[in-house]
Amino acid sequence: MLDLGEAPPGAVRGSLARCSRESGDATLGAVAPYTSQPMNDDLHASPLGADQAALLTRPVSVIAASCDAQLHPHLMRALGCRLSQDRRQVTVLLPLQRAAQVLDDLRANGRIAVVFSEPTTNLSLQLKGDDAQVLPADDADCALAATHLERFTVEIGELGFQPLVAQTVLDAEDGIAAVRFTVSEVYEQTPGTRAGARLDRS
Amino acid sequence: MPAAPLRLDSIRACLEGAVPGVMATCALDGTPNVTIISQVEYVDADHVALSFQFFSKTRHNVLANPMAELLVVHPQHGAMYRLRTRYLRTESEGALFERMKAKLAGIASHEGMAGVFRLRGADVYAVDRVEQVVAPRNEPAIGGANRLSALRRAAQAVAAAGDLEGLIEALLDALVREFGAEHALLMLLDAGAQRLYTVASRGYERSGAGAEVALGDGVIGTAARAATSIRINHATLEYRYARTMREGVAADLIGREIPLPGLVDPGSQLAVPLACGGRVLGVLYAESALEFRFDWDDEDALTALATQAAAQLNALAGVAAQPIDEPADPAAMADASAAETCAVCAEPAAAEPLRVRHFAADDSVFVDDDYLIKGVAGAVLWKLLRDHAESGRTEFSNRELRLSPEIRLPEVGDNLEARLVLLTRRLVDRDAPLRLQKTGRGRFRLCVARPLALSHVPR
Repeated sequence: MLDLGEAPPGAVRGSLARCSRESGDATLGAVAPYTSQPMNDDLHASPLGADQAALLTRPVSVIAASCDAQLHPHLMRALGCRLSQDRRQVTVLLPLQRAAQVLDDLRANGRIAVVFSEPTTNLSLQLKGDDAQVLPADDADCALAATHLERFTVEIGELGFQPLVAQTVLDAEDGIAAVRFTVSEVYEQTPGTRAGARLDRS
Repeated sequence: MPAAPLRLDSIRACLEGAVPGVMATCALDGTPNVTIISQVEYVDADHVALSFQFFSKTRHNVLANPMAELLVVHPQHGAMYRLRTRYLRTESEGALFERMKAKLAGIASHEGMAGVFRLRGADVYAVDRVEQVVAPRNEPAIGGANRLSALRRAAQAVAAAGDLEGLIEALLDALVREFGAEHALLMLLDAGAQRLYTVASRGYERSGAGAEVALGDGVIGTAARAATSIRINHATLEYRYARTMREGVAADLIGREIPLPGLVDPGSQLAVPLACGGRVLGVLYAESALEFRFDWDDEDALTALATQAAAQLNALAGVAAQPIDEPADPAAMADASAAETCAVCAEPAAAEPLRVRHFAADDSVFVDDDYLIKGVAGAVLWKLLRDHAESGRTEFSNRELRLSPEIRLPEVGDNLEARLVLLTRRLVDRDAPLRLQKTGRGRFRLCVARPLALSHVPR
């Protein structure tokens, strides 16, 4: 019989203290400061609408995917995500070791696909971009990962999953990489007749 | 440190739809695509099947470039596994398709997606590699019975059965004793009528003997028609088999349906066909109020057990059909006289006649205006009652029934013994003032406590 088990003692552990992040590692490439570009908002409105963007702020499953030169796809569950103010750029946090292949692919070709899915509602969105950059995670990223873990634990807790599941799936002990990309395509991914529909304005 | 290679067999708990899988594919132009997968179905140690529901980018990609990578998560402890796979083909009918369709209906209901999730095909993928990506932190001790040991004991108990009734009892007893089944029933196939009929059950108020299901109807009917085990882990309206009256049922059938026993809203259902020599002989069914009650190990064990039972069933039917010269068996005669008096015989004889009506059209039998049974079982009962009314006979043999022209067995394989078993139970279910009582091998007694008033309605 498959049962979801007893709740382990103790609260969800925050991971801020343990958040180890890569810094000064040459393999990550040049450290690019995150600066706002001067924008012509009217001409370059984000393909991601405000309503859609709201999904990214909720405790959703985030999974990033990439392809290598042999057209082999790779994917990994992310530790969290954030959106720039103008909704044009998305940053996903990936666990360094287990997302190693994804990170290699992104450094090689920059092409990324990310799906966001809310466990309790199945509302889902897929974003794509072709300029993904792999960056070192900073303190804010570590804090974001910790917060995401807490909120995600509650979200899937409503579906009957024990805290151990989120703690394991979103383990950040091996370090975090931040991957930032410009949103170029937006797709509806919620199961149903509209699944696969392209939503961005371009 | 590279993870040790695993096989799918070790991670089947991740393949129950409890945590959705995720999957990446790659277009020919190198653009990645990622999606959530509601169902990753275990096919065998080297293959999985995904549900093809919508015409999607994923499908478009794999038809051109078969490579796909999946991540699945263990629902208890969150360990994560990576599957490197290759798309092979799509099956839109057959055993795998039917299994997935039923399971998907359960998943859909569970996720509030009933009516949205619809299986168009089963996409079969070869699994080239399974890797552990995140190890479990606190692996909970695996509780519950070892299903392989349970199967061993069950198989030995069932193998010891020497006749049909013994086989049926041993099978259902083993299901309860070794696998903890709360509710279970055994149905056999009437191939001519394309219907399954209940012979016995456990865990319900009435045995439900005689209750029927059409081939293809619900979990049981689908398992029989597709000759595959079907397991659903959630309550779902689509495959609720416990429906008694369907809309538009023909007028002549009203009042002639025996209600199926069953939970109103089973959380879990497992239907396993009894198949032998390329023929489905029946279905063994278990259900529970709990969701996720049965896992892959349960399904494997019960499928193996049902397969053995089918072989025995087949052998018994073959033996029963042979005319045997049975020497007078003193032991059997002793059985007949020492057989405990049945409930009906124990009652004081009543004078009021028992009205029995028989309809030639479908061999249905009504006792005191209550519908009792029809078909072969009805024909058997009518013959017994007529013989008793004419000559006072109470002792009968299976062999003479088989030779009797009034009982038209549909085909050589069909099981007279099974009809006797179901008739025996049906009489108990209805608390009828008639009983059949086994008195020896291939012999039984008709117990009647009241004089009979028989009437026959010709075609």
